[in-house]
Amino acid sequence: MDGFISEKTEVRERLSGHELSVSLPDAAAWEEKRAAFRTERKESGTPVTVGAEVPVEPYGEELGAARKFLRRCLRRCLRWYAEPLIARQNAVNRALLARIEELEEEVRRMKETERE
Amino acid sequence: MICQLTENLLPGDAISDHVRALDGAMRELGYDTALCVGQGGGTVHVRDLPGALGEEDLLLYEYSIGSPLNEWFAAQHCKKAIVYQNITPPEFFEPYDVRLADAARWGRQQLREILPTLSFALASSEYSAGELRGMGCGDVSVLPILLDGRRYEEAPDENLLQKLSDGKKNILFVGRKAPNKRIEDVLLAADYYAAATHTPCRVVMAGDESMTRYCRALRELAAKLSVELLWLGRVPMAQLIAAYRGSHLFLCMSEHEGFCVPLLESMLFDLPVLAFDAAAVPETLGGSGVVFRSKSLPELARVMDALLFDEALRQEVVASQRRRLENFKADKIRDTLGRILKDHGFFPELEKGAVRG
Repeated sequence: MDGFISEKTEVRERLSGHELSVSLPDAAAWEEKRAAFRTERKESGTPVTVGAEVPVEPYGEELGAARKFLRRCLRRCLRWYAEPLIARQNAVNRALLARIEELEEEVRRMKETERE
Repeated sequence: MICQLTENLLPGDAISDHVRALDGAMRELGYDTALCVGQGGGTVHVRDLPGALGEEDLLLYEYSIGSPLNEWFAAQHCKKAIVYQNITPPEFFEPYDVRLADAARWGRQQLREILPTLSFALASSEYSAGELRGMGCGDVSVLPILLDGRRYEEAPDENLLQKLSDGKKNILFVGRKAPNKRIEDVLLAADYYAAATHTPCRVVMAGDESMTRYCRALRELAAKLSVELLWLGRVPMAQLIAAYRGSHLFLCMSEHEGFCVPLLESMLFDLPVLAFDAAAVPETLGGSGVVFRSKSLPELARVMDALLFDEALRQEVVASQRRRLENFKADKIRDTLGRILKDHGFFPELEKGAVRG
């Protein structure tokens, strides 16, 4: 038990001398749950955001490429204006999402209290 | 005058209690004090502060995450200091609360801007002090959290105490339900231990549950495990005391703490502590309790069993914790605070004349 620290020698000795009456099972199943817990949260926890990088669709055969180019230029030019608005909208989305989750939690708590 | 400034004062919040206790300690030392709460309240309103503070006065700010109040504080021209309890790295919050992650990141950015404007800084641990020094703050003193022991003299909640006295081994964790605390690891360690040894166990969790997404994830995990979970939110003092008194082990898996008040509370209630070696945790324990370096579940199960059933070992651990607790006695911390203030030229009202004379 080298990984354990205590100021008292008696504590360290007692810890290293402590034996269990059962043989410990493989902890792999619990380690998997730990890994899943962290991975799941990372995936579902990432909020959906919008940005200025919306794909520009072609407009048909004739003039399509020119229109596409023009739109792309316009978007680049307007980015200074659009980006802060989008950032604010994303913040609002996140705040709303968080508030909805808080309300859901509140409802769950109220239901639990009611049941009790 | 020394005016403490804090974003908010909440009931049952360790940092809010610390602010009140510091105010009391400074008054006992003979200082004229005031308390200003950013979100309204206290003895001075934030809009009246600039006029209320003179050249010899000090504005002492309880620094936390990013806030417009930080900018306001940075712009003040009086003598200033901060009390730094550390800011949780934003990476912990990111998967659960992007707003909080942003606020933590912003708090660290603002801190870098504020540090050059300070007369000095106070940190609750050497760990946090090191962080401030790393950011270029040359004058940092360590002042541990001041725990008002009288608050823990209240009678415990009888219903909860009775519930916890049913023969099961209660494994306690107290603290805000936040990802840096790694509460999922507490659940998994207790579940593994209970499954491996067939010991009837219960995990008791008390603390703020405002991070709903993380709380929901914890509940989902708990539903998949067989260990019993007693989920308590932000509890009144009587219930907190019952939780400490009725538990058999305090298990801390946290990976980031600026100090960790529940460790001190466990010491106060003679509850053996088993804690992961991270951030300021080993410093707060100061060799007492049992600290572990690896989250290996079989190893932890062995130590948990020893701490739950070996009475002589429990007594040794509790004795070491009692000795450690002596370092956090209110009068010692008050004296340290008085010395720091005088070293920086801030003297109690009665001594001011003598110093000038």
